[in-house]
Amino acid sequence: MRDGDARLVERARAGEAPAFEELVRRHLRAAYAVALAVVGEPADAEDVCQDAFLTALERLEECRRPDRFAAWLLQIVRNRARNLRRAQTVRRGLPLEHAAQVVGRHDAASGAERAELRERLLAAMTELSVPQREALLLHDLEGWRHREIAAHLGVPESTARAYLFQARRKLRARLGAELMEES
Amino acid sequence: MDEHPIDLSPLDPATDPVRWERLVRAITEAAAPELARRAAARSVMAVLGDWLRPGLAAGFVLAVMTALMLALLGQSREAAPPPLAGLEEALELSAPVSLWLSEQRAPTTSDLLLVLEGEAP
Repeated sequence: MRDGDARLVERARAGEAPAFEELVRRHLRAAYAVALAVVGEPADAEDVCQDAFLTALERLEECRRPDRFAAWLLQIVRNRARNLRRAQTVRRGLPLEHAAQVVGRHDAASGAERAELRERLLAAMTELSVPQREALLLHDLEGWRHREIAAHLGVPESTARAYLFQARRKLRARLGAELMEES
Repeated sequence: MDEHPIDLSPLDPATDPVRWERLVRAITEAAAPELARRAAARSVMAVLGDWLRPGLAAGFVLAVMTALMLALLGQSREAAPPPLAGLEEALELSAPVSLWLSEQRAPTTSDLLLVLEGEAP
């Protein structure tokens, strides 16, 4: 029987590496989606995830509701991602949305066509606001429900739905029909 | 409303297992020192916890034994005759001198005068 998050958090607090790894495997995808929504670049999103998980481990005693570890973790992810984004904006001297097309560092590992699709998606997503990107990635990539996204973003469910709707519409307008796959 | 999901699978990091595992490894390896620190702190607490109950039990037993020994010593002291009784008789000390000894005090000048008067012909 799988341990719940609360039990895994308790074990990780005691220094059990397998418990921490299980938490990482369980929540890394969602963390990555949130990070990617904010920073817009896969390699940066990975860095944010690594930083956020380490911060979470160091501050594990501050997680007052271990059964809601995911929500707590994603707040850390979002804060870390915003910090990185802010630093990049200052360093580059222009908003992230105006950055040139992003080329992932790991494209060699995937097929050229898939890499091209990813680049086009990432470029198109720069036209979305951060909440729109978060709603889109958490819903269409992670399979979260509207209610869960609304809770994560701290907005009413209707707003979360609107974010998703606007994100899809903008993305479709930008990319055309080739990338769409109806469920 | 636009209800049809967009295929975002090209953005899914888990679709590249090698890259995904590398990311998981990077996180868990970076976390290793903090986990080790926590495990060490935990083991110290566990050792203390392991010794706490036996230590308390041993302390209790020692306390009971000490109390019993003190009680027995007290009883034997009460039952024993005054330590000076035999000595006084052996030395053939007079009654006033025996009294000073039993009271463990030095005789005063008046005590000495009284004794001398009593011994005078």
